Amino acid sequence: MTAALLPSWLQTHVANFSLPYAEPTWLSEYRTEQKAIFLQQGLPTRRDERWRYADLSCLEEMSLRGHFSGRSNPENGSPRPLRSLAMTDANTCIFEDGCFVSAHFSTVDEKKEIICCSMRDAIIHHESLVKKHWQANVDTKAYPFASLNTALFADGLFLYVADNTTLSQPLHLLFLTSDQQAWMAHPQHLVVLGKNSKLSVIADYTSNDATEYWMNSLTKISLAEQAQLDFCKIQNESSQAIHIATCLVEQKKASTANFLNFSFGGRFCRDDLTIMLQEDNAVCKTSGLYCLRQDQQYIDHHVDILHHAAHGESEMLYKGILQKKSRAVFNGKLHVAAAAKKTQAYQANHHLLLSPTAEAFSKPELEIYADEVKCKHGATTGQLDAEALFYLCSRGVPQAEAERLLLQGFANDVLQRVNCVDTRQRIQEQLL
Amino acid sequence: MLEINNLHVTVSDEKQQAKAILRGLNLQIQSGEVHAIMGPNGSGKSTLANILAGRADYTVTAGSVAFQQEDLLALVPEDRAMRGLFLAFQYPTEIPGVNNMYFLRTALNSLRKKKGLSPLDAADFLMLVKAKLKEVGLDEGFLHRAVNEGFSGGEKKRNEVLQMLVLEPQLIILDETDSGLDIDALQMVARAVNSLRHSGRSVLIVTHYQRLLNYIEPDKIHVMAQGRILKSGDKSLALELEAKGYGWIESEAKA
Repeated sequence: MTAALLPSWLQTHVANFSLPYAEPTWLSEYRTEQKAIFLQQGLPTRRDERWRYADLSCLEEMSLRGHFSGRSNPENGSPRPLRSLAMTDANTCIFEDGCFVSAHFSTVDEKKEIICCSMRDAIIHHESLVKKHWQANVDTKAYPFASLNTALFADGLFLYVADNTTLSQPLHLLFLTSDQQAWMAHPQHLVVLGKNSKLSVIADYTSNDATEYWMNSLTKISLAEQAQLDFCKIQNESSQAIHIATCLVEQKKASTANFLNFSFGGRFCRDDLTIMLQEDNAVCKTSGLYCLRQDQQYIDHHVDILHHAAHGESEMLYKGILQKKSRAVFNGKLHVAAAAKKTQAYQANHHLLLSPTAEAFSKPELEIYADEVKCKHGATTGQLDAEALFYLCSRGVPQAEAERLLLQGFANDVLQRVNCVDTRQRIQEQLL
Repeated sequence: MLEINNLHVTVSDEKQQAKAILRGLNLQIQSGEVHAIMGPNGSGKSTLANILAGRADYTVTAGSVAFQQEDLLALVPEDRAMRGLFLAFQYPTEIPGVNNMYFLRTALNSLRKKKGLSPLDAADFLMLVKAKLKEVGLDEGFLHRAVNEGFSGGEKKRNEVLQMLVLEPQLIILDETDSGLDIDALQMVARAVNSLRHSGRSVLIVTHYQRLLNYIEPDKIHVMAQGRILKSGDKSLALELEAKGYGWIESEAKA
């Protein structure tokens, strides 16, 4: 067997890693196991179909430190959210460089039926809950960065919403960065929704300047019977950042999940979203909009939806606007198991190339083993519609304005899925 | 208002060969006049309308077009519109995701800006457009839909007329606006155009049929074939064409 491809700085870091605090045995054993797997597997190579277009040489060039700012005392200089991102009505959780800093709830009521704390605290105070929802059987071959994350994570968010609980305001997760250079963070988040509970999350990844860092997050989400989740991620990492995110979702009977992903930042971004519809009548909708504006900017979405039970519905709608010499990859995999009768699934991926050097790769994968299913998919890649442009201009709309209208028009069906008006407007403005 | 001299236009075909569409076309429209151009399929009528609006698919190889004493061909489409030229398209484009009302307000406000007028806000615009909607027989729901998306043929034409009424252009070009319309819609188009008839405004109607001209009386009728105007006359020419077809004009021109 050939030696694993692994930059030496990362190999050294992983091999020598030890947590600065104690943790339960089941967790440390799991961590050790994942560490061994990662060291043995190394980074994925382009021979691996899931990583065919991803150029991970950016990781070789870097030499990053892990750090545990871990802010034991959040009262000491917690970072203030950027004014433009503060939401008046929302409950807010702030993270800095991947570490949980503080949580603010608009009313005490909101706090009663939920647990919202750092992962580090959760492992101490809510160990049984954490263990119960751990999702230990992650496919390490498919998600190598999830293994790395598990080997190295020191913090993250633990969010538990009790049965029959509805959060009236969205929960705003603010991932801020410090002005430190050359760090990496491996936060692990666990979000658990009880039966018939309801939650809306807005996750904002933001950075002020062109700092170089690597964010490698792992988010595990579990939805009990009839739970409803809206999860809107807005990725505005620094232009020098590497953003790798793995999100694993388990849905029980008649639960509903809406995932929205808006990506603008980072130089290398890989986003894996895997949803398992484990019981009947589960519904998930995933959609994304990505705008790449820099040379060499790269985004790679892998969405896997696995229907394991009957009467499930799923949707993928991803759209990309590419400028300059940027590249985008979309891979949408739909797996319908034999038991998943009467499944309805829809998949679409559309790219708008605004420059002759931009590239888009789109690959639908449909594996259907059940009868009586309705599955549709479609993909397009094109330029701004010259006919539409002429039509708008012929009414006196200046060319630049007409192009703006068409871009907005292209993005519109994804944007309209954002329920929170302020957030939708903020994203819309970013599009221009 | 409009003066076209010896206009030659080519379009490149599938084999990238230049194909002549207009071959020395002359036309003058004075302020306040309504002209109609009729002619067989492939005579170049729609090309003329699109060339005037500034569509990029054509190459002008000779000739000139002056619009209000200005060189029209040197202007980009939006500048032509800002100077008051309006083409009601034969096949209006569907534009998914772009809100019909927002588009029309953006268009009106850019024309208003050019005239030094303040922009209309959403409320004022809605007031203005509601009255015009009634005139063209569309309900308010159409404002909130994407531009022409999923509209029937007739609804698209009504939407074109709505834009014309809101933008109040100086030169209106109707490119087969009457084709595919039922009699009620045809009368609506005529009413709208007649309501805009004015000494400072001109209209050029491109049509196959004499029917629309029963409702909008033209000052002049031109017959076009093989890329030029072969015969011009008053409104009685339309009736003659309806009775005798185009053949006699083409043979008359050859003789």
